[in-house]
Amino acid sequence: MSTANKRPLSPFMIGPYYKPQMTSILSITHRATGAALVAGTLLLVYWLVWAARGPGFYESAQSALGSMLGQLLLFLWTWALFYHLANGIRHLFWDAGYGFELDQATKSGWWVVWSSILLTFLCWLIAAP
Amino acid sequence: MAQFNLPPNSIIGKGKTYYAGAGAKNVRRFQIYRWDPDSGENPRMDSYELDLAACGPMILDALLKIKNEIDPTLTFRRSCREGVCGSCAMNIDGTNTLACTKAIEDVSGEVKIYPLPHMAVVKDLVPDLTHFYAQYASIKPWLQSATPPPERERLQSKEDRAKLDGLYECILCACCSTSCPSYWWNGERYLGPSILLQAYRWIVDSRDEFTGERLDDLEDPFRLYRCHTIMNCTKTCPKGLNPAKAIAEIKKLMVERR
Amino acid sequence: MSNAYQLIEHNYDVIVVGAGGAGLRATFGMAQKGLKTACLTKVFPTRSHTVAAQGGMSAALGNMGQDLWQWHMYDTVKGSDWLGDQDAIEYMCREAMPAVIELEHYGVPFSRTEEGKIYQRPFGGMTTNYGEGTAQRTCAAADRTGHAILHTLYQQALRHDAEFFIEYFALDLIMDDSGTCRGVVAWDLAEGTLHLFRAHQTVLATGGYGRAYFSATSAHTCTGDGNGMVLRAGLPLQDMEFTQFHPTGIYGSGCLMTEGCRGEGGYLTNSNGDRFMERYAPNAKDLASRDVVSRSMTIEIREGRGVGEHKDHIYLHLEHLGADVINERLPGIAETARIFAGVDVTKEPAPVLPTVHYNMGGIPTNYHGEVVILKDGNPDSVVPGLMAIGEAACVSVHGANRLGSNSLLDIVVFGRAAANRCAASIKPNSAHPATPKAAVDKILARFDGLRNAKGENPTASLRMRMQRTMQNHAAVFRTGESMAEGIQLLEEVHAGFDHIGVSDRSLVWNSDLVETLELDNLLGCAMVSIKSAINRPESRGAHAREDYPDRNDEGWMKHTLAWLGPKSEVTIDYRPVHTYTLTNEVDYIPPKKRTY
Repeated sequence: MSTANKRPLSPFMIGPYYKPQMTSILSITHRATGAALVAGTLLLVYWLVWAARGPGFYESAQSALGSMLGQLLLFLWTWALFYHLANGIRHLFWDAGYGFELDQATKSGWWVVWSSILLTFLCWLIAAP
Repeated sequence: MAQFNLPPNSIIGKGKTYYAGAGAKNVRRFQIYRWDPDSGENPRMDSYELDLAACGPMILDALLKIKNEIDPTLTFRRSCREGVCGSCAMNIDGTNTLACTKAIEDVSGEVKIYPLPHMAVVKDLVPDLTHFYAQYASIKPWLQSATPPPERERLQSKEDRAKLDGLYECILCACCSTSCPSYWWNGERYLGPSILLQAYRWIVDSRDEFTGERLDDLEDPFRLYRCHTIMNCTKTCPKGLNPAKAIAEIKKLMVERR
Repeated sequence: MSNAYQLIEHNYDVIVVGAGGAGLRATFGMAQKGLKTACLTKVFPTRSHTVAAQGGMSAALGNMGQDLWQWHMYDTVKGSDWLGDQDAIEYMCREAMPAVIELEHYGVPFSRTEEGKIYQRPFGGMTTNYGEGTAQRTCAAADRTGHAILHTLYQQALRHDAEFFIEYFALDLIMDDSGTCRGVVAWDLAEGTLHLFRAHQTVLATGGYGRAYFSATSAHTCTGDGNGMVLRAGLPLQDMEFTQFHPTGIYGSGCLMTEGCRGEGGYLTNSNGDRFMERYAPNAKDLASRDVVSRSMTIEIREGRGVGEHKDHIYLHLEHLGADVINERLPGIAETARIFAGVDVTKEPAPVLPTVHYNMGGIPTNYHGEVVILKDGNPDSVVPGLMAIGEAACVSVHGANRLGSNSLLDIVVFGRAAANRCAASIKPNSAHPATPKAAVDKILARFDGLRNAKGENPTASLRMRMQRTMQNHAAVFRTGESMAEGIQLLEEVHAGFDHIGVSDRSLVWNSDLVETLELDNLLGCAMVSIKSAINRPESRGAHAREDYPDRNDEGWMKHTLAWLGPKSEVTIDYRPVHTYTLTNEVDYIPPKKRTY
């Protein structure tokens, strides 16, 4: 086809061209939090291994995780955990065929967002010294 | 890996601006994607100012007014103007919908109009839907039965017929498929929500006897299973249909038959 | 000049131009029978205007009460105001039941009765026992029957591997010196290339020309392209004065609200709240024939009983049907009314107005779909190589006025008839004679001329002038004076076409040029339509003249044939209405007074 080679691709990215919506944002956040959980788990593994290596290493791991950056990462990792858990449950309901009407999906989406934030704060409140 | 950037020949530049005349009462600016296949240039955004006081209520009315009164080279598909043929599907104000049923007053500020996302552009707002149509043909969207048909109509209970509601009304406008990020990244092999909804329409029709074969055809990592329940499809469908739900029902059937 | 265009050549047994209901049914019918068939269509098949049909397809299945095809035939003949050819009408009504059953077997999702049979609703002009009771004859898929049928026909075309050339705009018929059609020249919009299609039969299924008017239920694509090609080929069109105004187009947008609304029990009222159809059609009331209802509404508005701020439309009431019935049987129009009139039909009436909807006139054919003209005194002289089906054709089964739900029937029955005729008369893969070069050169010259047009009149402005003229001077009620004025205005538009200006010079998807080619076709249809109208001094069916209010069977029970010359001059002649039926099983129905 002669003209086919030159044809441009119509723009698509969510943000500049496609409107960010509950549907796509919650979905990509689920993927992002999944990846973040993997990274956070590596952090957890680091802490466990350092703990096993002896008191000196344990001290350094504790101070690293206790730093501002460390705490922030832990906080975000907690949220990622709760978000991915809540949205994971939402997905399980979908897999069983429930909750597909738009109003239901929007409502359950808000539940996921707020409960993940709430549970994160609750968790840190309880865990805080 | 998904290509997030636009290829170099697709990057959009700034185009011309057409101002409204003096005396225009209710001016709105429309920014519209343009691409001229003869020029060899990249696409551009042209801006048109319209007096809404002298324009019909729908986005399609605005496009027609621009074409008739300002710039006859503006090119887009349109036919029925009442939301049943599916020709005027495009990306308006960030979402895919039909220009003929989208009211201008439902968009605030400047109206941005692009072709359906992640599609090869033939000209201006006209995408190349050849592959989409080929995918439709690939699911064998016709009644298949081994039993010879009766003398009169096949009987179908009202309950069985009701199962087709929400499925047979699809106008193949491609708004849903082109709103799906999975279809953007894997459109070559993933069938997309529109075609899968049609696949389900035949799976669930009590008169069709080839359900097994239809499900067999979807047993593949790409054709069905690139759906990750993002749900952009249902959100954008201008006819209020629910492709996400239809796909979920197919997935359930795939599991149940194991 | 024409050397600049390279033509890509194709040889087929049959070419079908148009992929609506008729075109699709013909195409896969021919493919099924082993003919090498190509379907050219300027839009993707499911975008064709058949998709917008709502109410249903009539057939005397008898699922909702006793019914006979003879009653259907009578209703159709009466509906046509005795201008229909009764042999073709008999053929269509007989073939209706097998046609519907065939569609159901293909998978059309018809609505169902409690027994699981196809649901049939009442429709305008459809009666039992020759006018006694109301017949439930219209087979429906909610109020999306056209959509359901067209999609199913496209699916069957896919199943039979029919060959499509999508978004190809057919420019002109190639006629040789003997008056035989040899094929078409078409323009591929996507690639910008020109194509020569040779065929033993060219079947025109290009639909109507509603867009000759300012307000129509028709799509933007309804531009009478086949009609235009036939006129330019020096052939006549038939009964072009008969344009149907559908009673219930939405006020403002002109979007269709199906006759099925009244079929399911809806009714019309004026500003006094009167159900005025009881006066105009005491028996059928709101389900009288469409021309009767449209005239009644127009009279009510004229006499000051219209509704709304400007007292210029009528109300259609559905509230009393209840949300359940509306959601089950009329969901499509509920949505349309919401979007285009801001009205919730379960709670308030919809504002409606008679709106141009269908063209009874078109390319004259016999009931096989073969184009027939008046030649050397023979009114049934077949034009070799040319056929026409669907709204583009004038068989004539609809005569001076079409009954609702007879069009979806017409397209499927005659699409199939054309396929059968081609199968019987064409030897597959037989050789094509040489294509007349002069004819092709002329077609390319016209195309090139329009493509490079540099006049001061943009297409859109000429089109608007034509549409306003037809809307004002060839409306529901016509007078000689008003039509003469309209002809004057239209001739000015024709003259203006010689100075048309096209802004886009491209060959690729040049919609400016497409609309210009379409305007050329529409202008031909409009000119022939209004000149045929002023020529007919009687009122019959949809052609209502205030200066000639009665029907004149003695002088005017005949078909109008109209040829268009290069300077918009129209030559008129006539063909007799067939006063015989197809078989001995039913007698010719003699004309009588038409009341509802």
